[in-house]
This record gives sequence, C-alpha cells and structure tokens, in this order.
Amino acid sequence: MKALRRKDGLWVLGLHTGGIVAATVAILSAGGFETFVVGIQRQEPLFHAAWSSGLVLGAVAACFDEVLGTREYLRQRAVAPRDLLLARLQGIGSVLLGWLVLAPLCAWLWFAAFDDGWQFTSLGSLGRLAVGFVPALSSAAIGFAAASLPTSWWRRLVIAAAWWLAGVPLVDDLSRTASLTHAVGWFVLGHVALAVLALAVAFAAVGHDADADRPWPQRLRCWALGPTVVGLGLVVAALLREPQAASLSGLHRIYPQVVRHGERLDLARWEGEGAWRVVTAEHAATATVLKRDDGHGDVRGTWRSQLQLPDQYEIEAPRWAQRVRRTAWGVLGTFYLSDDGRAWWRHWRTGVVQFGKGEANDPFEVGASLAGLGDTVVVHEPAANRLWRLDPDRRHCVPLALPADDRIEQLDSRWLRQGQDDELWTRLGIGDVSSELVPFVRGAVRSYVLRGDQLVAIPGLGDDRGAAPDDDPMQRVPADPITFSFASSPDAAAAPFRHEFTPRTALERAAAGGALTCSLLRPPLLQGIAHLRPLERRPACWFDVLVLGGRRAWLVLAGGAFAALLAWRTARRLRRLGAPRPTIAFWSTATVLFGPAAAVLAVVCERPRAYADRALPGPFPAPRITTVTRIEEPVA
Amino acid sequence: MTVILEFDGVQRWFGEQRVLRGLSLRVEQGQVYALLGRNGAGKTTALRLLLGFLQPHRGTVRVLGHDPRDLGPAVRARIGYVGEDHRLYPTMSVGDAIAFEAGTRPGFRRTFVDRALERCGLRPAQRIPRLSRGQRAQLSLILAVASNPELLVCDDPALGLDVVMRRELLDALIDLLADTGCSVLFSSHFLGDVERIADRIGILHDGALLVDATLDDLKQRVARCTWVPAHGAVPPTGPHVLRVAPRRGGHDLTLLDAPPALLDDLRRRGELSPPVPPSLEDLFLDLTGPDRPGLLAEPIGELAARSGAGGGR
Repeated sequence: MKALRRKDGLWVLGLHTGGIVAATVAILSAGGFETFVVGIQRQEPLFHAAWSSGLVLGAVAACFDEVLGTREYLRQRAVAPRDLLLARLQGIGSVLLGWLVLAPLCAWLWFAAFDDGWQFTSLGSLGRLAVGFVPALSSAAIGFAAASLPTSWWRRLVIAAAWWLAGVPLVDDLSRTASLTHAVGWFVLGHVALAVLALAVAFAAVGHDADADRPWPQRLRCWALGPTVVGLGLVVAALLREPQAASLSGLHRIYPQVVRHGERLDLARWEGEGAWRVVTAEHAATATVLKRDDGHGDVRGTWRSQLQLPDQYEIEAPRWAQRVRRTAWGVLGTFYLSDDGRAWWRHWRTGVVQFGKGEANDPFEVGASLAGLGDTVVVHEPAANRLWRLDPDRRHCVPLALPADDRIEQLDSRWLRQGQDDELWTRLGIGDVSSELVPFVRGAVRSYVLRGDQLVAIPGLGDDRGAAPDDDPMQRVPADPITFSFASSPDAAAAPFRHEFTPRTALERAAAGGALTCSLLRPPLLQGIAHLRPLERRPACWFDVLVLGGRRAWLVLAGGAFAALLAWRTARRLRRLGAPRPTIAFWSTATVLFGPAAAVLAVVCERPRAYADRALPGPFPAPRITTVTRIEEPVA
Repeated sequence: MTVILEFDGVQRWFGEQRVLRGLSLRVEQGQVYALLGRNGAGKTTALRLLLGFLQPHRGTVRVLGHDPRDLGPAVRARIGYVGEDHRLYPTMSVGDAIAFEAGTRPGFRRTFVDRALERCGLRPAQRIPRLSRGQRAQLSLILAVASNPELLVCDDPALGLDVVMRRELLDALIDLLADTGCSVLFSSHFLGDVERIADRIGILHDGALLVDATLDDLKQRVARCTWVPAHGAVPPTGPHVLRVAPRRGGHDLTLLDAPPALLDDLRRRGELSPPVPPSLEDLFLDLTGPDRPGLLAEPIGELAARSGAGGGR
C-alpha cells in the first residue's frame, strides 16, 4: 500500500495544490468578512470550484496509470486489484481532506492578513464551508467510477456526464424546501449517497479490462449502466423541457388573446401597430379590426402571464435558509446583520466594529432586518415591534419612538419617478433627479420616513402594492398549457364571456403536436410519476407539465406504448447479435421504463463486435516443423 | 518435463481481424522459448493473453497451472514481466522504482539489484525520464528478475535498442538467469539474439505457429542447398520441400527432413550443392517472407499420429 501511495504521489500533490488554490480563491471571491463572520446564503464560486475540482480529481486518480502507459505494468504487480483501488481512494481521500482543511485555512489567513474584521470570525462559518465542499466528494466519486470503467474514453465521458448531470440536480431538487432554500442535511446526505453509489460501481469494475470484442459481465452492466440509464433518462427529460416550453410558448403566441374594448370582451390576434384582428370562436380571422385610436380603450392580453411551465434545468449552488442583511449607506460605510442578530459596521477609517441594542450592544432578535434610512441605518425587530436607529457617534443603536396606533410591518423601499409621483416628490423634497429609490418604514396603517430621530408619516408612500392576481377579474390561471378555459367574472364586463382554448387551426395543432411529441420521448417512468403527482407551482424540470396532476392519461399510455415498441426492437436486435437472456432482459426493462434514452444507450453500449461469434472450426493448423517432447505434469 | 505455461487452441480477434487462430504451445520448466514473427503476427497478443490482460475468444491458456483471468497476487508474484516499451513511472527515480518494485513484490532481492545496477552502471538517483532506452530496458529486466520469478515474460525487450545495447541487455539476461531455473517466454525480432539464448523457438505467422521446435532439431531437419537443374528439369515439390526460390541459373531449395531419395533425384536431374543447415534468419525469411510459397499447415491429426508413432524429435 505504501508503495502504491508513493506512486500516486505526483497527482496527489498536484491536485492538493491546485484544488487548494482554486478553493481559496473561490472562498475569498465571496468576501472574507462575509464568509468568515457574517455568513453567506449562497456560495456560488465555492460550489463550482468544488464540483469541477472533484471531477478532475476522480478522473485523474482513475486514469493516472492509463495516461502514463503503466497500466499493464501495474496490473502485473503482486497486488490485488481491490488493493489498487483502495490505494487510489486513499489518495482521493487525502486530497479531499486537504482541500477541506487547508483551503479554508489559507482563505482565513489571507482574510486575517488583509482584513480588519478577523477578530469576529465565527466558528460556524467553518461548518458552512465544509458543507460547501460536499459536491467535491460526490463529483470525485463520479469522476473516479466513470473513468475506472473498462470501456472507451468517449463512453466513459458519456456515462460520467449522465451520472453527474442527473445526480447533482436531483440532489438539489430533493433537498429544496418549500421556501426554495436547501436543507443542509438532505443536501449532504444526497451527495454522500451519490458518492457511495459511484464507489459501488467502481468496486464492481475492479479487475475488468477494456475489451471491445467482449460484452461486459452482467453484474458490471447492472451496476454501471443501470444508473446511467436512470441518469440519461433524467437528463433527457430535463432537456426536453426546452423544446416543449418553446412549443408551448409558440402555441400561446398563436392563440388569440381575450381583449377588452369598451364593454365587450372578444377574441383577437395582435396585428401590430396598435391593431387587433377579432377572430371567431374557431380562431378564424374576421374582417373586424380593433384599434386603440378608434376609442376601444384598454385593449390587452389577459392570461399569458400565468402560464405554468416546469423549472429550468440548471446547475446551481445551494441556497441556505440563512439570510444575511448587508447595506452600504452613504459615507457611513457598510452594515451587516447576521441571522442570529449580530450586527457589524465597517468603515474605511474606523475599521470593523460590532454594534447592537443600547450601550450594552445586545444582539438583535433573530429575524431582525436592517436598512439604510434617513442619515443612518435602522434595525427592525418584527416580533417585538421595535425599531432601532444607529447613533453613529455612540456606535450603538437607540430605540425609535413608534406611533401608538400603528404596527411596523417591514423596512421597504419604492422607486419614485418625476412626472408620475409628483405629489410624493414634493412631500419628500427629492432633488433634481429623474427617479429615486426611497427607503421607508411600512406600517400596517401608514408609511414613514426618518427625519432626524423621528418617524414622519408620508401619505401615499406605501400605496404601490399591486392588486393580487385573484383580485383582477381579467386574470385566470390556465390549468393546462394547451387546453384551458377563460371566463370573465360577472362584473368584469357587461356581456359575460367564456371561451375554451384548444388547438383549432393548423398552426395551433402543429405547435401543440410539438409539445406532445416531446412528452412521448420522455421516460415513461417519469411520466407515470408526474401523472400521479399533484399540480405544483414550480414542478421540477424532470416532470412533464402536460401530464402533471392526473392530466392526459392517454399521453402517459402512448409514451409507454412507444417505449414498449422500442424495447421490443431493442430485444430483437440483441437477440440477433447473440446477447444472452439477462442482457436482453436488462435492456428491455430499461427501455420500457426510460424510453428512447435507454434504447439509444443500448445501441451505443452493446455493439455487434462484442457478440460476434467468429470461432474457427478445428482442427487448427499445426506447426509444419515441430519438436515433440513428453510432458509429465503441469506446474500448479 | 513439467509445463509452466500452455496455450491450447487459442483464438482471438480484434474486430474483424483474426489475430490468433488456434495457437497451441507449451513452455517447460527451465526452458527459454522465443516467440518470433513479423509485425502483427500475434506475439504481443499471445503474451497479453498469458498475463490475463486479454481474454481469448476460444481455447484455454494456463500459466503456472492457473487461468490467467484469475491470477491472484501470489501467482503474479511468481511471474516477471518486461513490457514492450519498458514502461516505468516517469515520475520516479531509479531508487524510487526499486522501492516500488520491492513494495509490490514479495521476495525482492535487494542485494541482487544493487549488484546488477552496478554492473549496468545505473545509479539510484537517476531519474527515469533521463535514462536512455537501453538503460530503461536494463532496469526493467533487473526489476523483473529481482524477485526470482519462476516465469519471465518479455515482450520484445530489445526493441529500439542499438546493437551494443542489445548485446548488453542479452548478456544481462543470460547473467540474471544463470542457474535460476527460471522459464522464459520472450518475443523478439532479433534472430541472432534468439539463437544465443533460446532453447526452443516458435515462429508465429498470421496467428498460427509455423514452427515450434528446438534449435538443435531445426538444424538437423532443415537444410538449404542450391540446385541448378539440367535442361528442362522442373523444381521439386512435395512435403519435404519448404521453399523453392529462383536464383540466377537455378534455385535455392529449403528442405525439411529431406530423404536421401529426394537428394539423389535432384542430383540426377541437375547439379546440387551440399545441403547445409540454414541460419535462423534464413529459415525465418523462408517461412514468413513475402515470397513464401504457400506453406501448408499440417493437419493436427497427422501430427498426433506422427507423435504417437514415435516420429517426434
């Protein structure tokens, strides 16, 4: 083992160094004070540095001997293949440990050397950083396992891509909470599970050499290609979201809009230059054209904004529940308020100081918020319904007197524009600018600005809240992106209006057909799950919005039938090649569950060359010149 | 004699290309077996099958009584291997490579290595990438032999070396193997070297063995002569004529187990020079050269019959 570790020394050292530099830069790019003192909600640079470094680490560890050409030399050592694998895993573990310990240390030393807030370092930040490194673990395991597989380079790349591109977003999706932040425990558990699965594949591949003229053993096929089929199915489903969304958006552009003109609601299509052409209930154009200039009043579309489409497929850093308030307020400097109520004030001349409530500088309550207001900053404690104003001279906060008949809701702000908000403009005495973002205190009854140490109510300042969608009689949420109905509420227009939107013209049918075709290509297993799931506001990118919530059972069945047809063809091809029964069963099942993605993978992985039976019939050609000796016994 | 390794009817393809077609050979204990053949004849494939880096499509391979697919560390420890291009870790020094070998092979003889390094003029501090090709070959050989293997497998160890380095490597191999009882299977293109150290040779051509015989046997059974035919006489054919190569005024004949009657007939029909044993190189060219006249393979049944009748030598 020691000798094996020594032979891996070069990549271990190189990746240690490279990864530490990358991670240190990533940590510091988010700001030392924010990272080590206040806490960050989202460590985007560290996340991307961690997974990319992890993938490189795993791939290098697995391919080091292959690249050097020493693979067979190493195979001939008197070392069990499993021990070789364990030695490589030890190397990976030591590099990951080095990143985990040394990168935060280097970043902190840099922070301590060049920042004056190091004395406020929070130990909790180390935990947050450790969690930030977790994607490196799963990515390293995926890179290692995929690169260890006995197959060609490009197949290993495809397999690694399928695992990673499905696994990481899947963990992201499963660990996401209702408030769109991520649960630390589920996030860590998900990545550890990914790593364990990948390492199990690596162990299954031990002792197998790449041989294009032989099929994989069934055990390795199940371990390595099973997750690949699942991963590829998820990636295909996620990628199909884009053409499907494009088709649906196209359909919605083609659909006529419900437009109001005077007291009437009508179906019409936008013709450009302020004109709408009225269409019939069958979406056929009529000769009637509505123009704003003709006195038709408010002519507008009504339902597009409420379209329900799945989440986009993205690889993003996790967003922790922790929220850090940070505000830069004029010449005073920058202020921070952490989740646990501690607050800091950073100024280029005075450095960083901690401040709090009263002379004792007590921390604020959990969930407090911070904003610049007037000539200083204020902190709002919603539970206690208190406002604190920072006294810059005394470097602590003093309580603000609140109006007795009102309750503070939040610290808010609003853009005011000259010409639109002239009355407020005058009341607030804003100078000669075209627009200004005005911070204010929103109360349940009134809204206030801070003048000196007094809250001054400004009528109309908090009146910018738009009406809720449900309040607008013109807003109706389409239940389905292709077929939905629109009905005006009785008081919205003099004449009640109702229309069933469904593809009626050739163009509309073509656009809907594009979206339905995308559904057919999705994995039937995911379609079935989506069909059984309730409607969600933001469904995950794997799920088809056309079948979510029990819609279109026929589409789910059609997709299943299409997959069954592909499975039959896959099985027929494999039988023709001479594949054994377990192999045929594996790919048939995979294709039934995951559709075209599995069928394509079967074609890519099960090549005729591996199954070709080219056995020559005996007797074999014997040497023309031979010396025959008498053999006693073989050596055991 | 006991069998150290055995190929029995081994067939192997790479795609549509048939590389080995029913290869059968045995190496006995203490024997030095040279596997010869032109480029692409299947020598490296045979060695890779032997070490378990590849699997045969048909037939069986046994090495030290084991299937190469299941070679455990204990069996691998009994096999030394020198690869075609003497791959060693370019990240290491000579000393590191020795330490690595010692750490991955039981029974590593440190004193033996020290003596061998001194003999070859190698120093532990030298970096592997800075070694010449010949030095790397010598180091590979020393490391392969250092753990006193029962079987040494060398895949063209002298490839790319100049004459002097090749001779030194060969001398080193002879020295290292002296009195060890180690069996050797090696492939080579250098027939002069083979004649110096091999007990038995196999000439592999197009995936099948044309020759599997001891050198002594070859010298006794194969003869070359020049035949100038009388006017109108046609060159001889038959199972005893391996090759008839035209030359100015006559033919070069390569004969196998030539019976006196054949020689008398040739003398009667022309002028025949005294038959002499050919060099290995001449024989190799006769058998595998581009103008090789369809050397018919002997059906395996006939071979068995001949062996059973005591016709073997």
